Amino acid sequence: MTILKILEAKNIDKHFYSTHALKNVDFDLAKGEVLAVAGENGAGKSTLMNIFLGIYKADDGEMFLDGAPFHPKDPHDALEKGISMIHQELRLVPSMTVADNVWIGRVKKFSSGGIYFPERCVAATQVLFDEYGIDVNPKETVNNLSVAQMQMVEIARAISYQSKIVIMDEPTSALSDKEVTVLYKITKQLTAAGTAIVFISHKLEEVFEIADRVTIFRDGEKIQTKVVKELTMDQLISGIAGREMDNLYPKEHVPIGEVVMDVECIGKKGMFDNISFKVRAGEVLGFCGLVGAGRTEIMNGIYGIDPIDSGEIRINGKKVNNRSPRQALDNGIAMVTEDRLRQGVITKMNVKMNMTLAYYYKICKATVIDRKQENHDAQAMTQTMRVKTAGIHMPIWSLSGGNQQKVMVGRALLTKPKVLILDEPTRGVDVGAKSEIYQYCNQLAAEGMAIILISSDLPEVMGMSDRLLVIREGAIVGEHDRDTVKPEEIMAEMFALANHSGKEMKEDQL
Amino acid sequence: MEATVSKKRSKDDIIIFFLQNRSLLLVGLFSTLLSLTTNTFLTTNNLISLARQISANAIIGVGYTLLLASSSVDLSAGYMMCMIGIVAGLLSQNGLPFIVILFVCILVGALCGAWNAFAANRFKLPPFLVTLAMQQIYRGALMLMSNGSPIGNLHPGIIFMGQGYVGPVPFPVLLMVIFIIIGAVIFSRTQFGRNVIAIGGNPEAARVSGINVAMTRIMVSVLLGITIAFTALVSCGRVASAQTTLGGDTVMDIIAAVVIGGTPMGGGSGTVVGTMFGCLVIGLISNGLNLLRVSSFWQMVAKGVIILVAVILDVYSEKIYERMRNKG
Repeated sequence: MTILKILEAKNIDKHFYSTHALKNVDFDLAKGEVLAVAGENGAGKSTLMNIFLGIYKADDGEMFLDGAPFHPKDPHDALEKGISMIHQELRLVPSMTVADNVWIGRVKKFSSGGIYFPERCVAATQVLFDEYGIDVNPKETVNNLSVAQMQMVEIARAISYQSKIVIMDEPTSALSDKEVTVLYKITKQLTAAGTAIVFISHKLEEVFEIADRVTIFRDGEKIQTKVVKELTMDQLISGIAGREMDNLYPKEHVPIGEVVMDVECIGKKGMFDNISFKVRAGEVLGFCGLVGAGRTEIMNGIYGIDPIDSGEIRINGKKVNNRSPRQALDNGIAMVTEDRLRQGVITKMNVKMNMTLAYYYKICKATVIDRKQENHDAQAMTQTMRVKTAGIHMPIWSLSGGNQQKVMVGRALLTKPKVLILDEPTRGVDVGAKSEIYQYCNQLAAEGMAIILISSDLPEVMGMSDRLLVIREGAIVGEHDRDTVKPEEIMAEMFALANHSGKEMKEDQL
Repeated sequence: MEATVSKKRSKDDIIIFFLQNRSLLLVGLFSTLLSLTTNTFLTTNNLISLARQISANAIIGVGYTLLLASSSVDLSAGYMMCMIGIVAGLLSQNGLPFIVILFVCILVGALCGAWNAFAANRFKLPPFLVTLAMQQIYRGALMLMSNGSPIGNLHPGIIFMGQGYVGPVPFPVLLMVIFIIIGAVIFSRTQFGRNVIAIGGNPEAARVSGINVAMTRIMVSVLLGITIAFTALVSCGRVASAQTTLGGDTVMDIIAAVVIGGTPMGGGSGTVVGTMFGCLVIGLISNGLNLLRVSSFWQMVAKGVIILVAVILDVYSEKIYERMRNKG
């Protein structure tokens, strides 16, 4: 091989508690190339990048930068050694100027005798912007910029370090076509100068447009690295999605009953619009889509966390108005939220109190909680959900992620809902608990509950659901039946590949 | 390997046992020291006067425990108490019956509390800032009402609240016990108490689970306001006049007592009974230093040190929990 490997990683292994996030991954990056990294959410891309940046430490494996062993302590250390990153979430200081943001932390560069000269900083920014064709005023306050312009500032900051490696995490998601063109130009200039670029994107056309090679990740494993010219879109998609469907998702067929929840044209300004669907008793309705497509926002609207501002929701034919989670619970809707740490577990409470959190108000006698009833119900639910714990009075943090998640599902079920919304119920959950949660879902469906399942794990949501809806940019762009659906079709809809497989696409789109 | 892990765990367990019972241990330690170094400490008179001294703080402490457990704070409590005392003084001078005075004081306390929480909710301000501003407003208001001078001639009912006896038990001590029992029941047995620790532990999770966070916060502040009103009457009754400077340092004492008692600054759990022991620790420091004839200026320093130690212990125990969680 004549290509010079600037970054090489061997046998990288990483666990998060019971989740095996990276399995013995090898990775290499050559000088002056654009390497696309493709994979579903949770495939291990971000974990690997975070290891390169020193945010996480690998459990095992070696890394070499320019042939020398590389052990980044933190992102700052990685930056000094020549790796910079364009983050998906903007990390700008809104009250400062564009120039100050680009050169943040490097005031010294523009100082003489301890006094800072902002003009020099502005001038340096202008030089940088001119060189790469970025059209933003360096003196403008970041507050006044559009999101796309902010993203450009973020990009400018990353390249201002003149790093050997620039990692771009979904850099185009906030950009319009015009800015994407500028970004491509920047990329070419950088690679011509020998910089290596890692390009992470969910827009697969971009991979073909910009990348030299592509590395595909799936379930924490590196599947393959291919030269893009030798690859077709179909091969790429099946590489990303193509997992053997195994018995992890033991879907049982249950007779489907009456419509329980009827959602008609609901909308929330700036988030989603004109969403209509029905869920029936005994049915599992799956929602697919990329993170940020609007799935969670729609459910938050229905459940009253962020109430909807148009449209109608009917439960068993009766119109309901969910302005808060309490109203939604009273109307028979329960939700297991996506972010277990932020919106789910209360770390200082024990298993019992966590489990009964959404329903104990129902078992109060003159506002005093009926503790006997509470203990009894919590105990019974712990057994039903097969929560592995030394007892219901154990602190919740002594449980594994999977068992904490079972407690969260138990919390929702104790309210005896008619509709159960599960938002990413298996994120960060080990395989065993995953399968148990799903078996229990089947049982609930068989008992006549209507279940809405959101998951970024395509095989999972396809394996579990009777019907599938695909969400993109806050709208339903596809509907599929369990028996006839192909993963490629759903992928195409999720990633908005207009020219790929599908007449239905055109009908459903917009 | 196994052995070292379990050894580590059991060491943590011991530390946690000490941290959880820190107020009891401190009470034990101070009492022993004082019994050994003085011959005036272990006398009925001294112990009763100690109980009376801590009763006022312990009554507010009940409300304040709920407040800290809900992960909020109130800096205005001291001057709110002082203002309510002045209100009681003015009403006494107008010759109103005791029941009216009591009712008005409770009402003022409840409304002030409700306003503190409402303003923080409505304008999305940290309670720290709202109550810092309100403290100054209450202070100004009480000076305006009293023209800056203490009010004497209090209603005999108020005097009784501060100085009276029921059988052999001083009334304030009885009141303290009643409040602690009610507080402990509310805290650990009722829906409301559970809501409080839920919003203190993780407000977002509480909201998603159907708890009305804003309303719960207001209710907590109202309860605190009511305990403040009672304490105001007890404190005024004890010195038989409504002072304009009463309660200036109360807030620090109370926060120290509640935190030493085992309720974390960050909220999410709490113990009303612990708070009583926390008050006892603070009380023992003043009492003991008095008995040992230490200057009151040194007492201030000592109290400050204890508060600092309390907060350090609090942060330290949170860290240990954090460490155990990460391992788990």
